[in-house]
Amino acid sequence: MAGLFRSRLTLLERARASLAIQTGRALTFTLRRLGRGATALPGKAALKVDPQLLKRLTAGRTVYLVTGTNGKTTTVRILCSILESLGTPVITNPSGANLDSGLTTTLLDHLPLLRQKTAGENDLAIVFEIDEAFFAKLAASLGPSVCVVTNFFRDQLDRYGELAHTRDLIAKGLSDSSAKVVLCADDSLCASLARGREDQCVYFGLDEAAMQVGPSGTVTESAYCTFCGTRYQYQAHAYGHLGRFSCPSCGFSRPEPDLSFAPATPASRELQASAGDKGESQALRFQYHGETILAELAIPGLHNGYNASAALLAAIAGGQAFAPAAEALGQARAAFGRMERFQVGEREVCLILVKNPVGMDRALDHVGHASDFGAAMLLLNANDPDGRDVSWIWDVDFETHLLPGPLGVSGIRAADMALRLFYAGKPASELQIDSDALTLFDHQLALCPPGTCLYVLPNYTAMLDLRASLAKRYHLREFWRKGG
Amino acid sequence: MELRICHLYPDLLNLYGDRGNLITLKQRCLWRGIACIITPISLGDSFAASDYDLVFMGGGQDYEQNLLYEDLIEQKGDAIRAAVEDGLVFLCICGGYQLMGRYYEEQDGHRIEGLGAIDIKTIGRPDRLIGNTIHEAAWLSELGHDPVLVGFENHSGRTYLGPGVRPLAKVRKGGGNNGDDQTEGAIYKNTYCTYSHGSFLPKNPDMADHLIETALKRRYPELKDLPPLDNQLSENARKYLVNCNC
Repeated sequence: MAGLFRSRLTLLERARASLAIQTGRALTFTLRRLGRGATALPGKAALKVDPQLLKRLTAGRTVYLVTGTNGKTTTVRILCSILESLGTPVITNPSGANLDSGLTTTLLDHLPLLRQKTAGENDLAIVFEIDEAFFAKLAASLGPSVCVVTNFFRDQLDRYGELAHTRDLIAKGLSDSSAKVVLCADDSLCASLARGREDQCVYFGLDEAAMQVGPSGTVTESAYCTFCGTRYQYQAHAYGHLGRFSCPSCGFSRPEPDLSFAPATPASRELQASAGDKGESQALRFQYHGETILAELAIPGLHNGYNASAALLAAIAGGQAFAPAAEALGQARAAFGRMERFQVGEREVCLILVKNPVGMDRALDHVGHASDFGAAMLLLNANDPDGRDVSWIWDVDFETHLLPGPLGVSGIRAADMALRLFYAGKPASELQIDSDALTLFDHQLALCPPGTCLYVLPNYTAMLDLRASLAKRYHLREFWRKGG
Repeated sequence: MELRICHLYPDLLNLYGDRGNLITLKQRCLWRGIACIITPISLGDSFAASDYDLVFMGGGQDYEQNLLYEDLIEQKGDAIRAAVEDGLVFLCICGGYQLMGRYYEEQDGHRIEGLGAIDIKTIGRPDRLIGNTIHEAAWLSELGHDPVLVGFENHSGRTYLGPGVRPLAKVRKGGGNNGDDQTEGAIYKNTYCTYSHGSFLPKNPDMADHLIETALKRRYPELKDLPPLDNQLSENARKYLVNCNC
């Protein structure tokens, strides 16, 4: 067991932890023999034996935590990719397994890596995606070196209630931590987390020159100052409430980003790839304290520019050098179901998970501009992980992002989605409604001319269900083999 | 012909897709060749009731709702109370509904004064009433409409109606106003209040048309009944909620 625990343990503590590990391992072994995925139960059983196990296994190690409402999974994915490219072994949790039980199971699955003695430059990194509601509880026991907060967008509110409340929960998790904190400069709620811990914080954001200059009237969410309640002024904005905000009353304003990014203009686009024209990748210009690097990211969309910046700045905060880390971005690939693409004969399929208004707005903007657009379908479920309330679809700006051609609609709440699209201006005759998602998939795929792409926009459980069917049919990789 | 809608505090009261109600009112006007103008009125803006045929106020998050409180009560209170008495059409959802009432009593007994435009009171409770709802509005069927109202509720306040106010509907599924007396929402003169988000009007097109018709007839007394629209997609969504057991 030498090397497994980095903190000093008494004999009794060590015995208890070892027993907990053996319990968890035995359960994993049994469940896998039964052909079951084991993401939570083994960790849960191990924590029963030793409630301190998670703390003991992570103490003295480099731990990155990623939280926020949107982009967690993609940010984790990119961060892992950067670290691995630079020679750092990484342990990460599968998406969805982000309670203490799931995190413990993840560590139990990687005991050989945890036992390795190598310390120093290429020491192991642990990268965990943490649900925003559990961050406060978990941050204390995980002792992170770096915490990333991606953003605060409105989610399904029946899950956690208010955004301000979610922000306060994360602030609580940061309060006892000495971790470096990576924050989005353009998100007022996110940037407000720096208050009282300024020395720990670094910021990423969109280069102001790449923002749209315009009236702040377009910002309708989180529009009022977190500290004094005055309406923010916006000198420029990106999307949603992201932008260069300032409070005219108390002076709270967008901090200067340590790392800024901008879509590379065609003139400077030396790294243009063949795929770039089809909207599968993007060239980005990163600036870090006066140093500039052009990098290609194989995941399109401005929001993924933000995610890549969050990951890059986290790697820097964790001790990596800017230039090699930025260059390693080229290795990153889309996460499971998030702009994930695969080939079906002469056509492509692109899965884009959408679970809240801003995510849907971003996805529609991307799909609407894709030059390889063939057809699209939307899937809306209302199971517990999705949130049972589907009213958020009325907060999506379908009106300005109306997709062309016959649109497929499926999922448990297909009727609600169809009604929403109808009110956005889509004639009923152009809505193809089918309760069977796979049948609809075949129908919509057949509408795509060869060489084009079928864009599939499901919410969470709809994505899991459809992807499982497609994985079986097209032999896609199973997601739990590798962190999402 | 035009319908002039006032949207109160759209940048502060914008929860749970409540803007879908405005999308619905607007489209159902446009589909009938009636113009529809929506004017956002927020902090510091003056509210002149005579500029509008219909006023909409949704629900907000606590932080945002606290920000508008003074502006609503001090600056706009008199005009809103007079407009309600005068019979201007109001649609108020959840937090907007509670603000129209006499007071909101927090769990510790502290009372927050409301507009007092309608005789209702709300008592805060620790547990929330959350879920899909089905309610029955007998008065809608008396007008030849479908009486069933479907929606989604999510509120911790329990609202009780005074003698001069009648319920919008009778609860068939869900908590309604307070989880006790089987009432849901409120009607006073032409002010309609409900706890239904989700959105309320897209899935209840007869209710939407009733509001449009009532609002227009005040300004255009010669107006005949509104021509019917194709409600098939609304029907599908309603049918799902009535039968889903969810």
